[in-house]
Amino acid sequence: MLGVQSFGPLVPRRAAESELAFATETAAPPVSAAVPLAKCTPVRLGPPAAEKDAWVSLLSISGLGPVNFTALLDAFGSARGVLAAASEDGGAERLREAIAERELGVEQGIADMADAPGRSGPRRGTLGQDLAQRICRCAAEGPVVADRARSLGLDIVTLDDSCYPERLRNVEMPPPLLFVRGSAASLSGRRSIAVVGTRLPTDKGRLIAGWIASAVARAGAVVVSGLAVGIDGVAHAAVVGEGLPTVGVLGGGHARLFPKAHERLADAIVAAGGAVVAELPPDTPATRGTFPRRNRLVSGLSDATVVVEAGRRSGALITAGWALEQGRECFLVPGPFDAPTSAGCHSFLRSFPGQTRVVCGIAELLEDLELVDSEMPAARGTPSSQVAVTGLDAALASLGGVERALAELLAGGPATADDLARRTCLPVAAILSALTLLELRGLATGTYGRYAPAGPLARWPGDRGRTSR
Amino acid sequence: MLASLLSATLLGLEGRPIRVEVDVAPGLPGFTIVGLADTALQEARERVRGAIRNSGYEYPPRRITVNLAPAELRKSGASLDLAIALGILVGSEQVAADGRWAVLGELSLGGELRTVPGLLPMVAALARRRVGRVVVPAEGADEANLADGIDVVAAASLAEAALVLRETRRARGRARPARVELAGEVPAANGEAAHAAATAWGQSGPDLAEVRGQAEARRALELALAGGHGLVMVGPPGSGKTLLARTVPSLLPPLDDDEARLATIIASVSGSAPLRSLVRGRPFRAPHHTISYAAMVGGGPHLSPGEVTLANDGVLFLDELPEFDRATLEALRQPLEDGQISIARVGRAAVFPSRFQLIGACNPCPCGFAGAGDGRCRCLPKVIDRYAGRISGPLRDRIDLWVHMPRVRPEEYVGAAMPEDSATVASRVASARRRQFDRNGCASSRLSGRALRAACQLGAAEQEHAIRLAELEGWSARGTERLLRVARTVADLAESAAVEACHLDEAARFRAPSHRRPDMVMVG
Repeated sequence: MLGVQSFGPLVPRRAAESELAFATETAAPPVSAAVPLAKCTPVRLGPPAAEKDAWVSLLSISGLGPVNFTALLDAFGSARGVLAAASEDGGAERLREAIAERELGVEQGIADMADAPGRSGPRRGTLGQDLAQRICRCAAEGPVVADRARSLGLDIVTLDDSCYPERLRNVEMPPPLLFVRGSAASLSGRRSIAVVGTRLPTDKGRLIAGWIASAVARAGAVVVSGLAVGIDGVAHAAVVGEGLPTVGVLGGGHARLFPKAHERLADAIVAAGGAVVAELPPDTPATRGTFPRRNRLVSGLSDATVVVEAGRRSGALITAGWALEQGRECFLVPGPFDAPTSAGCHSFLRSFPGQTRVVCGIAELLEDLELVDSEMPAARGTPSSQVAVTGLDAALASLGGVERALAELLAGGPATADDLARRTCLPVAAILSALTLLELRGLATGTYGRYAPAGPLARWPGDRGRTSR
Repeated sequence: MLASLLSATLLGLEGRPIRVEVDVAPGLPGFTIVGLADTALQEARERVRGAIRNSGYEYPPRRITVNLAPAELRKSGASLDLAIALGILVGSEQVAADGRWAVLGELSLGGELRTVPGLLPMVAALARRRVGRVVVPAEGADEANLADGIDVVAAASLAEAALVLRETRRARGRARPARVELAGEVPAANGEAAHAAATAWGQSGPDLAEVRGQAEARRALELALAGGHGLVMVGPPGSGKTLLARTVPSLLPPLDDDEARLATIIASVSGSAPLRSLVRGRPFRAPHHTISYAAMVGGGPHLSPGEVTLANDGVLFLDELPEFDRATLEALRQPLEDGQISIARVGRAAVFPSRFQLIGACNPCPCGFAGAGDGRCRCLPKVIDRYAGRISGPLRDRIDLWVHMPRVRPEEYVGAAMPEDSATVASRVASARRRQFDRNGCASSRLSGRALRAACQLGAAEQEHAIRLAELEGWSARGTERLLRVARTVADLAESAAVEACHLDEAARFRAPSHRRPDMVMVG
């Protein structure tokens, strides 16, 4: 049987480093070094299934946080040990005593934050009567949540599994459990970049999010985002449109997918070899409080975070904040200085000079991210325009005359049927049927009567000049 | 003395002949009406008393009992006033008349005769009863004359009606007023005169040429009218949804003879104004969203027809669709499906035709600016979901065409390009409708199942294409049927016998949006 040692402590290893990150000017290390793999390479043996179930059961108890969970694990040797103790007579009392005996040294960072001024000495843990009772009840129920997760086809990845993403393991207080739908390996991709932004973007913001996401994905990185509507959804959709893996992080549980509108998008992400991840048990609804938590995962799963559009109070800024705290790079796309949809990006850039970086072009972003692949070698001297045009031509080659004309117009940005009719002088019936054909091929989408490029057509066209609008 | 006269009352859209028996007997003066009379009828006592006195007759100070037969039928309205008054006059031997006369009309206190709603179906019902002659209020004479097989005599007042009864007894061969035969005076169907009549009816409607831009929505409207499909226009305020809808009367072909007969009866029952001739223009009804349930589907104390019936064979336009009461909207499902609605109240039931075409308009979100692409809309996705969710799934399924209307840009307002006018589009609509009726005997919106597949004649390649389109959208069988129906109309407008792939493509453009935010649509 495996002892507790093999599970390793839940102690975050990077508390000191994250403080450093805020203190030093050169906080953002080169991206290639952002994954300190060397620090956590001991071979981990995945816990046996029963122990995994016990983790799930314990961590699904409302009110049992990482601190008490660690303390219980230390006291009883394993999660199964905790549940075994809880199911005995007087189990609740035993749990409480065990916690009370332990020094709460484990979580200095948290303890410091929570400490009232003037308190000193080692803190003792406490386990509330109610919580102890809940643990006992949970022990009696058996592995309900784990069974539920499995019935939904979810993989459970614990902090001690070898497939737990290393990037996430290195953040402060990594989530002990991940519920993964799709490819768990996509969480540990070579490079992984978060693309996030407002839920209420402008057309331009959507376009840029699509460009960045598809360029980053085609350069070989996994795009991570929050599966929200707006920028997040566009980023995911752009990557899925390229048939490449992307990771969506849920704010709630898998069975309560939020927003519901993205159920199809989630399916498409899984089908394209990506993953949808949740930290919370499947039936937990997403609430106001769970999203900042989710954002911590988005940035934690990524080497760098790119914010496309963010209003002054956008949740995307929370992700950016976490990225800095976790010692990851943070890029922000600027807008016109009076644009309310970019105000958050601007104020964030201003607040953290030296730690944040500006996105001033797709090629430049890829260069900064050290993501330059054969298809987009802009930074290495090959004119990016040639490559981009070639990619686009391949997509256009199979189209008929009308479709191609429309595709070329749409590549310049969203347009209405009226715009297209005026510029092509074609009857509207022909335009509408051609748009459906483009949609079938994944080259265009229509929302609210405006047609936008999608898939390869939505790629950044380099300096081909998209000023034809 | 006992007097007996025929009259009629209304039940739903049907006239019901009523025998009015008046007994003027010695005894304590009094006035009783028996035979399930409603309030308006009970009040007839006061009107009749005043009318008799003010017409120069004597109101007999005797015991008056009025019986309305058949006794079990609930009677309503004021159409029996004249019969009761004349019955009293005959019963008190002030007027002589035989029982073969039917009389209809409401009385004023001064003795003038007023027309009543539903005069036409009442006269028609009396004609079916083989009643030879009927006295009707003068202002309703044209309307009553539309009914075949009965002599209509107009009277302007109680005194005149009494005179008619007495005189025609003597002079039977008296010249009849000019007749308007039901089947006569019908301009050649779909002819220009008819179209002129129809557009004249929709007098205030703007011409389609006044709608600038919105090519997609214009096309959707043309398809909707050509195939009788339901249409919902989604767009921000000021994008021209209501303007476009108001052009509908100028685009629709006039009613054919059968439709005109029914439309005339419905117009008569709704009693908005006295009718002069057959109603030829297609109805266009646009009730406000505060409309009550009963006003929409019909009902009320008199089992009156609702908007769905008044819009029969025409268009029911619901502006601000999500603002309508949920129950009111849901009530549209049965009429949309069956083309009729049955209204039942205790002891009474009526079936009203309701083959209307639904055209709706709504904003994309509560603030109205979602999808404008300028970040102006601040509605949260949840709020937009809830707003769109007010139109329930089953109702959505019954609407074939959905079109988004973006805001019109200034260059489209000032641009020189002259959009098509109503007459051009109306002639295309009319010829597509003719093709459909020649082929199917109905509009393509009424096709389903085997008849629909037979009408579409999809080739192998087209079938495959239809499956791809259906699969792509995750469509149900119902969604696929809708695709085929609309494609059939597209083909009809293109004067194509078979449905081709490009017709299917165009039809797919007008599918129902997911009632969620559209990011998911990005995955295609």
